[in-house]
Amino acid sequence: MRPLNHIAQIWPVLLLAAGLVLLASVVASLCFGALTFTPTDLWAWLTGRADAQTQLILGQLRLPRTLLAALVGGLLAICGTATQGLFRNSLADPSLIGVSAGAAAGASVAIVLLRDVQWSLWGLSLVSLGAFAGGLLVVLLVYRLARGASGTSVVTMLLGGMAFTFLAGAFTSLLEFMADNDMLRRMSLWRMGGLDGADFVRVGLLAVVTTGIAALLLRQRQALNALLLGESEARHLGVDVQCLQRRVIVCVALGMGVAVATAGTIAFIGLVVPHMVRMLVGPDHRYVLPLSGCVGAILLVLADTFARSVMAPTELPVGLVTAFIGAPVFISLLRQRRYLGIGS
Amino acid sequence: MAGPILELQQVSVTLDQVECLRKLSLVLQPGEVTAITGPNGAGKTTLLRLIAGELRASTGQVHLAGRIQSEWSLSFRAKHVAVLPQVSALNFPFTVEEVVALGRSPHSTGSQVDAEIVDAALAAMDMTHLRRRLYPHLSGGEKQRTQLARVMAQIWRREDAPARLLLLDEPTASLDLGHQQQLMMAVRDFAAQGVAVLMVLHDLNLALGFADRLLAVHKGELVADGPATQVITSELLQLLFGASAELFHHPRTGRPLVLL
Repeated sequence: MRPLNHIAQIWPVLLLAAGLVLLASVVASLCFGALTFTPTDLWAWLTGRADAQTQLILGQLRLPRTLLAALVGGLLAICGTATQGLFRNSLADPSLIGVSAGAAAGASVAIVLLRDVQWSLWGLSLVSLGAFAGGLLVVLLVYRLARGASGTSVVTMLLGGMAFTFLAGAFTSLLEFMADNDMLRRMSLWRMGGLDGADFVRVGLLAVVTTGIAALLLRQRQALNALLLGESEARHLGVDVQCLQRRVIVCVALGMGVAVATAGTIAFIGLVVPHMVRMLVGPDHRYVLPLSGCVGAILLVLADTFARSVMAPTELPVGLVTAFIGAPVFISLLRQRRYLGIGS
Repeated sequence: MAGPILELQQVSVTLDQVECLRKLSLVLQPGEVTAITGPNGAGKTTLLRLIAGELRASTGQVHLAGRIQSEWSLSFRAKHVAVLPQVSALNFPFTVEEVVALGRSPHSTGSQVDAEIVDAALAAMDMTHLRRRLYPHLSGGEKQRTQLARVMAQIWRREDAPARLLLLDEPTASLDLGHQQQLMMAVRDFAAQGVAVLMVLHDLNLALGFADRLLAVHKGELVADGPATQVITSELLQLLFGASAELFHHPRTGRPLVLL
């Protein structure tokens, strides 16, 4: 049995509720931080009657950062849902196919080898671009490795992802070995993930990427559902499995690449959120994809608010916060694995 | 729909330079329940995969609803042929009715029609009372019945496709005796709606009881084809399985029975 049985009837209400909670967490994120604002201050800011300092902090710092957190969180959760559907395994995480390790290696290259180059694109620094390129390159190599005459082998992809994770890890270590103290600190901070440096250019880029990928994946919802039955079962239901796999992999690689490039590696959102949502509404991608997006956004906004305010004015890296929250949640989910259908 | 649902003419299949099927010819008519038997590795599964469109014929021709194999599109195949797999890999917590509803995904018949078909398929497989249960929690037999309801829902209506073919690979493997009989009755009723059924069966007594026709495959060749009661002989069993089997006749109905 499932908590929500007649999901089709209550779906609009559920989506609206998720939207309202997201709105509430955005308001909370705007209020809390190094400086605390009251809802009255927010209202004054919204109606344009706030003083210059409030205008600056809310409009130029907190609002873009909050929006970025929401978009990155949603993107991570959506990519996680799609990856788990693709591998037909609710333990699969986008980092399994090597995105995170490749991105870390790419970022390290930019930090260590290209430190004198000042160049940016769409508000993304060279480190971000290096991370994006590294993540994409590894996924491309893993995918080519797994693609054989008889289609894409999911097992080979998982193992290939592991091999390339090790290779990229070794490469990163080599760069760490060559790096000086300042570079080392930048590298390790980058890897912990953070949303500082948010501006409206990045928000715009993320908004385009997130909505685009969400729309593309949502169009494949029926095929993704059929794929959960198994590859040949999906084929017998008229799904072009190879084409579907290619589309999902491209979406996940792009989405994860952009997310990692803007916010570093943020753990557990992509793994835990789809789990929690499936417990509530079941595995139908029509519901899991949008709701995961909302819940991922809510979680990362709240985690970032916490990271900004708990040791204010010092900021914790938000990746640390999600890992500290995510790991215990994941362990408690594992204890109910029969319900989740991970297999016995 | 006049004419056969499936027609194989002199079909051979070669995989990795091994000839798995050799010059096999076969015609399946609507409403016919056909069982395939034969030893392990004889080519039964290869035959099912060929008909399901997963393999191509090396020589010879395969026609489904009058259309040659190279012209089957994915959606054409999905509307005409439903396949029950031997084992299912599904481990996501879909409910039983959601699994059955997935069978309707090749069609765009609207949620009203689909819901009615799902209800009817669940009832046919005696699964209505379990419809809200989560699939990973079911027993092996219940999973099998859910999957059968799903593939039946896929080709439920004559309006969706005039020629419909149901392929079953060992459908009774994990069922108790009562549900074996119930499944076979449901398959027979389903065939009576004009569906051709082709199933791999190891249990010859089930084949004798419920199949109109029995095919015996041995080393990639069709060695027997006809009404089950006439095809099964001690010689055939010796050839297929190398086993000395006794053939009895039921004292009341006169139906043959195989005892090893």
